[in-house]
Amino acid sequence: MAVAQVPRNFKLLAELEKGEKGMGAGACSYGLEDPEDIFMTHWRGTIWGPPHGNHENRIYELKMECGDNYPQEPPTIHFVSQINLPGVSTVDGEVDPNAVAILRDWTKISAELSTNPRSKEDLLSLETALISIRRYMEENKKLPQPPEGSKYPMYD
Amino acid sequence: MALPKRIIKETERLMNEPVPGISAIPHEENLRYFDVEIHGPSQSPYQDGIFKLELFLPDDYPMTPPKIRFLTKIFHPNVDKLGRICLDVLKNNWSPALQIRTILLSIQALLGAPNPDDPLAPDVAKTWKEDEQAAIATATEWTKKYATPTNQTD
Repeated sequence: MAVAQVPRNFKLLAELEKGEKGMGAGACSYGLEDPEDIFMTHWRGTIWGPPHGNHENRIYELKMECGDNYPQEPPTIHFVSQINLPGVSTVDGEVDPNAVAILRDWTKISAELSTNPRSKEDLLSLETALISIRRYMEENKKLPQPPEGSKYPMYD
Repeated sequence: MALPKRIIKETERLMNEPVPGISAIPHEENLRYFDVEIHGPSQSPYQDGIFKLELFLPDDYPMTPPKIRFLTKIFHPNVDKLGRICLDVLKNNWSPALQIRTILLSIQALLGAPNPDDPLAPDVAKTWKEDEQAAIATATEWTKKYATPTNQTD
């Protein structure tokens, strides 16, 4: 049976409600940057550093932008907190989509879902993006990191 | 994508026998997604305003209610900053016997009869209860500022 295609705004409202209720995985959280942002474009996220490495006990702040074509297209994501991670710009913290599995495959997964939807799973969301980034951090937990709490100059 | 008969019928009726002061037009690429306009009821601070909303019929509609929110900024105790609406028929009192048409009429009625005792926007509700005249003045001002067609940017 065909599954209804949830419009961008209603998908983001559902994501917001999930984030507000803290129903997520616990290692990540997210919310709107401005609670009056009616088109829900600008978001803030946090990732609790994965354990047993140089990210342990650190909280990383990120910003995420959902364009008009979200969720067909992935959000643009920047680290606000400085991090040493291949694929993350040393200038402004932008995350290269090719570095993170879910961002790299996002449009492909989205196209598959549109022809063969699985209604109950939300494979593509701000939360799954954050979780995927955290997993990538875990794979790189041995890399030396900048001082805790430092931010990229434009966010400082 | 096959659309349930019920939705097709409701859409046809909305187009052929529109409710005065209310319009709902489905998006071409997603027939479960509607652009809605509701005219503010007369004798209310929303009079002469045209309010834009968006409405979506989820998979299990009509077993679950439509999802709907305001896109036009509005000062009302039962509408929050993201345009979400607190209305019993959109939640616990939903019944499959209701329709898009009846829901939109209920929202129009809610504009005429704000209910600050069941608020979604606590700060707005507080003003409404403590100084109703000031609340009405703000609602009127916002209607002029955000819901008047000549002032709308799109």
